[in-house]
Amino acid sequence: MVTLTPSTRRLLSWHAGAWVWAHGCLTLYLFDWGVRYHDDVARQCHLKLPPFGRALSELTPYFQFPSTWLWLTLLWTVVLWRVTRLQEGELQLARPFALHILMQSLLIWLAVAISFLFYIPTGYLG
Amino acid sequence: MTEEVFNGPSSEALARTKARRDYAYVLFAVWFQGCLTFYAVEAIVGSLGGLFEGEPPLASPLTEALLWLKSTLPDGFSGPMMIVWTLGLLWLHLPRRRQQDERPLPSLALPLALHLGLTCLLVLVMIALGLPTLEMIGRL
Repeated sequence: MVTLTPSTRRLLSWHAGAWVWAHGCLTLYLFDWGVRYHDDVARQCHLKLPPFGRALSELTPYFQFPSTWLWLTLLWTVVLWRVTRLQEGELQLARPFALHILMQSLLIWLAVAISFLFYIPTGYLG
Repeated sequence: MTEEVFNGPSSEALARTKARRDYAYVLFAVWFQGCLTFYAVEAIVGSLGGLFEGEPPLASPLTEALLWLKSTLPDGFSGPMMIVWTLGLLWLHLPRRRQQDERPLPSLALPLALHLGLTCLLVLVMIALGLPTLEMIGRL
């Protein structure tokens, strides 16, 4: 069993926190791109979208790159900072971890919506 | 106990309560991710079936495994899977609630393992869909 020194624990916790933050920023970037890509394909092919896809398409007018992404990244940074607790210089990672998982839901939503584009028989590949 | 009545909960007890609440947030997030992932897997497996209808599958063993899954599992299989998932998480968590208050602080290892497992599942399914789709786009 490896015992970590307090300074190593602090360093590792900040390292993990930084990855959670970066993962969130990249997820938002991908989501921003995905919303616009999804809408482009759906419009070009005049697709009748399932509820997941329709909900995503309704978001499209609000996604103007890069301003929306930058605002969302700022919001993500603030929320992450506010919910993360610091104890003797060490980040308590439970809440950032929960947020990270919820953030990943955006990716799942995107994956499902884009996979439907290929599913619809008259769609992208039809 | 008497001390707690007069002085309020100690800082250690407060820290424990906070840690347990944070753990509950993580469990909720993992539960939510699981439900969404099962729905996504069902949707993606369905889309694979639509994509290759009337054609032999083009690609990887992963794709073939998914097509086999589609032929084996009934439509709407994500619903029962969500129920099993919910009950499984409750079963893992509830026994700890029955123990005394001196129980050790919950570790994040289990939620982390579940989260990574679900993520791997989604990535595998996306690869299974992505490979043949790219191949078809290449042929068009």
